[in-house]
Amino acid sequence: MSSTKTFSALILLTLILVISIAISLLTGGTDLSPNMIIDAILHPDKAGFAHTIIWHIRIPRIVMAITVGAGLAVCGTIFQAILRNPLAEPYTLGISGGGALGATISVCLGLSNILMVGMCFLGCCISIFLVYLMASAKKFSQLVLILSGVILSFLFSSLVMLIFSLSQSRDVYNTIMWLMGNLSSVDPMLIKISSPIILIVLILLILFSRDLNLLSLGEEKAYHLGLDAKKAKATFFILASLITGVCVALSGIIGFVGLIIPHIVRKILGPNHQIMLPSSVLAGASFLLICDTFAQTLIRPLELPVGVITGIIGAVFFIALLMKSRDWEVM
Amino acid sequence: MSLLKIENLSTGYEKKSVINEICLEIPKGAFVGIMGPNGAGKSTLFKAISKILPPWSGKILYKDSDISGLSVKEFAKQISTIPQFFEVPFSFTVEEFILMGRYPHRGRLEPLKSYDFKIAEEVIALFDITPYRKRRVSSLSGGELQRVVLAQGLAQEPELLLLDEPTSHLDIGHQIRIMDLIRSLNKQKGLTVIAILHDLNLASYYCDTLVLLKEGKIFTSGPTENVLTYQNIEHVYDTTVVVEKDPVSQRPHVFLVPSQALDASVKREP
Repeated sequence: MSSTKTFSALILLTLILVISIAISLLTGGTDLSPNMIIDAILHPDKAGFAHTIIWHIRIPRIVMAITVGAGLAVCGTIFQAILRNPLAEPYTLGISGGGALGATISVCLGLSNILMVGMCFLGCCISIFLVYLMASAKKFSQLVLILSGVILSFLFSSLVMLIFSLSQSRDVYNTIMWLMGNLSSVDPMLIKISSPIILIVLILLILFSRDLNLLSLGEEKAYHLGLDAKKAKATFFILASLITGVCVALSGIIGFVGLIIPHIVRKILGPNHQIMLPSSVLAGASFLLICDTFAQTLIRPLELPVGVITGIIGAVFFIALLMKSRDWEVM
Repeated sequence: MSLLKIENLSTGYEKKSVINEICLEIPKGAFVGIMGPNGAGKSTLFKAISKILPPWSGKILYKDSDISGLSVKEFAKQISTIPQFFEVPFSFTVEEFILMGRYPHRGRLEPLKSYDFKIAEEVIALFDITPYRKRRVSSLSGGELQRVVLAQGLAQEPELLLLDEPTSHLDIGHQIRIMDLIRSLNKQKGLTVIAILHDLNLASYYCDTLVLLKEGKIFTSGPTENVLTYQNIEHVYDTTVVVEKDPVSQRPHVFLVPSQALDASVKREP
């Protein structure tokens, strides 16, 4: 990969993100003219209807889509590299499932929204810990890690179903909608806290992306090339899991972003993680933002869960990509 | 001064002891072959030297300092380890892959410098990699991949090269070319080489010193001619062999003797 091609790819991805943000600002549940929108953006202090829509609904939602999209894509990239497995992503590792279980329990206990997010995060942490425990008993073989993740995922989703089937709560519908991945109803405070956290961790991860290249050669080879592989792997695992936890807590389960964005970026730009990580940030952010725009507009005035959209677009794109490649060279 | 000194080394896996009380001194510039039957502890010794497996007792000194005290990075600056089986699941290009050999010499956020590229160019030329330098590692043939993996190891600018069966899945042409290259690095640049070798004759052609392991202990070690005798081989491998001088290389050559052939030969000469 020549550096000019890389550079132009990054510029192009940035452009796509900017355009997606613009489109997303222009669309939503309410019709606003472009003039009103520009006016509201340029005068953040002015009060008014358009101002409220832009600053309290659309912009927080855009920030959230960007944060979650970038976070999930980067987590997928990292999990695929350290586990050397094309199937690894937050969802297949069972991390998202743990969060869903936490959220479901809190809904049935009638806890407040903030507590629900807390429980969701706790659920993610517990499942991270369980996957880690199960896998470290077998010294982190990549197969065991994925297997334990898949098993945990099944366990968690069965428990969620169990709780739903026993529950009388009228909140079940809302919870299901949230579980399907939803960017619409989030506490602005949460966005203000979690976005900077994710941003800082993402920058840290990009700075350490060279280590990911070595880890993707396997733990032993990375060690021979001078990287303390066990420590590096554990660090990446924990950081990526934390990002996943925050993302699931914010927006429920949005599948496929973590699986598909790394694959697309790798196909086009090659597996060098120093390029892949920043590209995944941009591509993941744009992808989720575009999907969320569709989710808001397709069946107006109703809204679709964005997880449904990412699932459909993701799967179609993925199949097309596989059919087009010359051989079954998915990595 | 010896480059590597192994003192009373014992180690193994979990509760199973594999090698016992190994003592070995390897001078700078040596080309050492480690041999022995399956299960004799070659790979375990290799893992202990390459700092993957910690010693249970005894120690390994590199330039008089204990390797367990060296950081992973410090170790990789001086010692390249080339494991036997190697698969690259991600399709890095050959150039990207070779440049990863510069990792131990770079600071955490330090970009690649012109010196790093210079070293990469040198190993690419040395190993005749130029025709496929732009290709993806996953598309290489076995012989090409082995060259690229060695080139990455050499890009680490090591003083000591550890090889585990460098020729195990190559045809005889590639075997000779790879071993010739390693030999010339050893002779011309003074690179010290320790290699696990299964093929006794390759070991004979290329190594100055052989270490013959049996059941986790050194059975014998020393100059190739002294180690490769039919008595030693027959004892350690528990099979009949004939050792003759190779007419071209003047090195000992080990002929395998199938038991039927042995029976027939005994009948012919009562």
